[in-house]
Amino acid sequence: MINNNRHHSQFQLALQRFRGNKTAMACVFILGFLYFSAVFAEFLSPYSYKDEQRQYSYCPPTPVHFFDQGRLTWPYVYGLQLSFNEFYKREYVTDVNTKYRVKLFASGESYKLLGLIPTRVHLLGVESPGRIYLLGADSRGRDIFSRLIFGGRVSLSIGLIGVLISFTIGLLIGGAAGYYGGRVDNYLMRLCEMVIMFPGFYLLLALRSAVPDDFNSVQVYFAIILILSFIGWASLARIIRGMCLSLREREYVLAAKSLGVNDFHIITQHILPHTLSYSIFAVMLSIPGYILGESALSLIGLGIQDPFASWGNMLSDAMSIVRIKFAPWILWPAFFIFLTVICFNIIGNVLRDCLDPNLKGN
Amino acid sequence: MNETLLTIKDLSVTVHDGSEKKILLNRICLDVPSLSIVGLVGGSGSGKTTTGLAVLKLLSPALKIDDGEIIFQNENLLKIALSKLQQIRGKAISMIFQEPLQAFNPVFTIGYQIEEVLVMHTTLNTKQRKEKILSLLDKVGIKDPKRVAGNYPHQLSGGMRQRAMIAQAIAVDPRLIIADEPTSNLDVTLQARIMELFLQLRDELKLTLLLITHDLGMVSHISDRVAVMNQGQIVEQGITKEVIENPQQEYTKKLLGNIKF
Amino acid sequence: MILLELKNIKKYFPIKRKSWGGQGAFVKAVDQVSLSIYPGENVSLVGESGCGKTTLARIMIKLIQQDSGSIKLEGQEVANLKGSKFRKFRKDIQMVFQDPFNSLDPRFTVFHILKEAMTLEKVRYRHFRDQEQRIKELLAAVDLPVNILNRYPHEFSGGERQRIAIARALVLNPKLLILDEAVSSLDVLIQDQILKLLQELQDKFQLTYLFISHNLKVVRRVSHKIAVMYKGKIVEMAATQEIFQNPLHPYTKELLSAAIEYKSVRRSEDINIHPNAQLVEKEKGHFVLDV
Repeated sequence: MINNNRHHSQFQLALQRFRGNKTAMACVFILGFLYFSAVFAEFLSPYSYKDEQRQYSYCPPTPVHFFDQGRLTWPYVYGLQLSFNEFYKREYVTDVNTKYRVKLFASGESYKLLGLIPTRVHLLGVESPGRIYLLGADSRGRDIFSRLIFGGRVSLSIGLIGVLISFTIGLLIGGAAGYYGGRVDNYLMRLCEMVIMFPGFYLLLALRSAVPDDFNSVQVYFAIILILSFIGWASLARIIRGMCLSLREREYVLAAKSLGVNDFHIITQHILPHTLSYSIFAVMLSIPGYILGESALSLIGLGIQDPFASWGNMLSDAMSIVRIKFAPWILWPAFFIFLTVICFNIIGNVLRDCLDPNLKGN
Repeated sequence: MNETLLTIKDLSVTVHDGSEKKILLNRICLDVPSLSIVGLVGGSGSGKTTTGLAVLKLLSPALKIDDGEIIFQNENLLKIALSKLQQIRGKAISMIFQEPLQAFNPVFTIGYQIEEVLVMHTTLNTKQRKEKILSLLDKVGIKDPKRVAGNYPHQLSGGMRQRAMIAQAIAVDPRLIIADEPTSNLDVTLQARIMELFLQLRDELKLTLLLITHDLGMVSHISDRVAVMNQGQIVEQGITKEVIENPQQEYTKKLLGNIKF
Repeated sequence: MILLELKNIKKYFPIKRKSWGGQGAFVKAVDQVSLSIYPGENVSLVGESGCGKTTLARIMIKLIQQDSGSIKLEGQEVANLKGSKFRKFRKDIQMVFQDPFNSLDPRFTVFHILKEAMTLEKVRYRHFRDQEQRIKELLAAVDLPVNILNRYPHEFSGGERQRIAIARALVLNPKLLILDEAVSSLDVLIQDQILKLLQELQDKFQLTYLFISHNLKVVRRVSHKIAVMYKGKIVEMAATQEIFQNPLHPYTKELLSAAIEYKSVRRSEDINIHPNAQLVEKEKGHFVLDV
């Protein structure tokens, strides 16, 4: 009976190891920042996602000026004037005569903060009628910066909710199959294989086509989550089942059985917690799949519909090489998808090393 | 009495756990004469395994050898160069562990893993190695050496695995074998057979054996000398017969209480 | 009255699937075993690994379903027990497992482990105070201090863990306690302590023990009757003294010489069991498998 004061579970130790990894912690901060901005989207974005200004179609990023005739001044932007050159190409000419000051906590469109507090305050804005496009505008003159923040809301939350659903299903089905074995196992695993058997993307399309197309955006959003979860649970279930098969032979499981503990309790208390370390990093590594899945659907126009924003449907604007050539800023959503996916992957890999030191090579 | 093959002199090992310093081995002295079987007996936590590992300097880094000498064939193992120590580890001293399933790599066949040892420490060619493997397996009492050599560790029963482990240990004709609880996980009937195998191998191969176990009863039947350990110290040692018949220490009597009934 | 009566228990495990029209291959784990356990009479089931002793034990507490044969607890057939009667059966027979490093969930604290054992007595131990009192009582019974309740299993030595496992098995006040190699992974001194403890507990809680072991020597002190199992059958059964002094079956002799003299018996061939062999009473109370 040594170590009187040390009752650390293995999980706590793993967390300590994780904190020591700088790259992973950086990723946690980046993701934290992205999720934070998705939650406070209305406040952080200068405009709403559907605020159209057709005269600013494909407007390039607005430069913010800090110097006025060599003197430091409150930041301002110039007004823009749309004109066409001799080839009838759009050109935005800066109108140096009109200056609009950039305002902090500017009042803009009204909204409810967190869905509760009605307010008109936005973090950033300019004096009207000036417009500020920090990252440029899209075809309908909507602010890409604002839409990115709103789009993050859809893209980032789909990963979390989707993973939550498919993991609950995967854990329970895998747990049941592994624990009961025999016929139950057989049926459930054949079911899994049926799901896994289909090429993922085509199954995605087929399922999407089964959903009525007159759904509104909220319905589509949930439909997409359900579709992605439906595809995602099977591979996890198979792995959990394998682990449960060996865990159920552990003597503490037999002991619990002989004490009359019921099956649900045994599965949730004695078996699934031991698959936890695997599950956690599997979750991290599969979130990108959901984000990419949503993006893919939205990209080809089957996901979130305009005017609602998601990183995927924002990218559908960028499907033509000509547009990318003239307005490269419409590729910003791709950068954020990339960033998010890579952060989740790094965190997942580091977590695996921390949770299970045995898996790590020398 | 034969010359001494291994001498442990005043060996002390400590572990530093935070600020605390704990003594695991306290000035241990042990002589292992050539061609004898010496039993190192004690309860769990008595330091017997630490002693065995210390001989080959296989202790985990947290454990520090503070003091003492380990003299094997007139050389102090604690002072010689690592390259030389590795020579001795593989060739002159072999170790057998309690759980052969963990000591063998599950993804290679038994034959392959014995061959690995032969490649490293002998100059035999492929054909000679194959023959040697079969003769080794035959020597440790495996009836069907060809089949066993092609098997993976999990395909063998516990007794067979332990025999295969012994075959691997004697592959390079070591002088000394350190066996750490070689039979604790086996049935009594298998234990008895493995013990007999040890006796037979000693005579055939001119081996010396340091047998680490908690079962004084087992040791008393095959060893020439016995050392009883308790709490990091050797409390009693001597010729087995004398120790068994006339134990001096209370602890030895307690261990013996289980043999005689 | 007989506490637990097994009659012609049979359990075959398939090792090869039945092919079309062909016969599947089976391991006869337990083959027509009958055994009676009387209250207060400790029985030991001895045999090498793979002889079916653990399978038989697991059938007794219904972790495995037997292929055929009947189990009676205090005269009542347990095959079709449902509801409260089944729960009573569960309470009456408890088991201590072989490996104390494996039989306690590493994620549970001692308190949790013991509390979980109260599942079948939820009503009785619904208050925290009652739970605590019972747990303290049991820890005292197995000679463990009460301040260990918040610790995890990995903080204990093998002997201490086995004490916790015994305490857990006693929570429900069982009548029969099955100890499956409960001391074989411990070193001799700890074995000794645990066996002493078990003797104390027997008097205190009116327990009956069924020991399962590969080592005759270990169970000698604590058992009244010994049944030797070999290849799924009981080959010899008699009072402990009788077995040690007058072993009749060749396999029993082999076990004895291995356990006591550490000598193996050279056999020219395996001991064969005749398919029609029956337990025959050679002397009074001394049964041997014979044709």
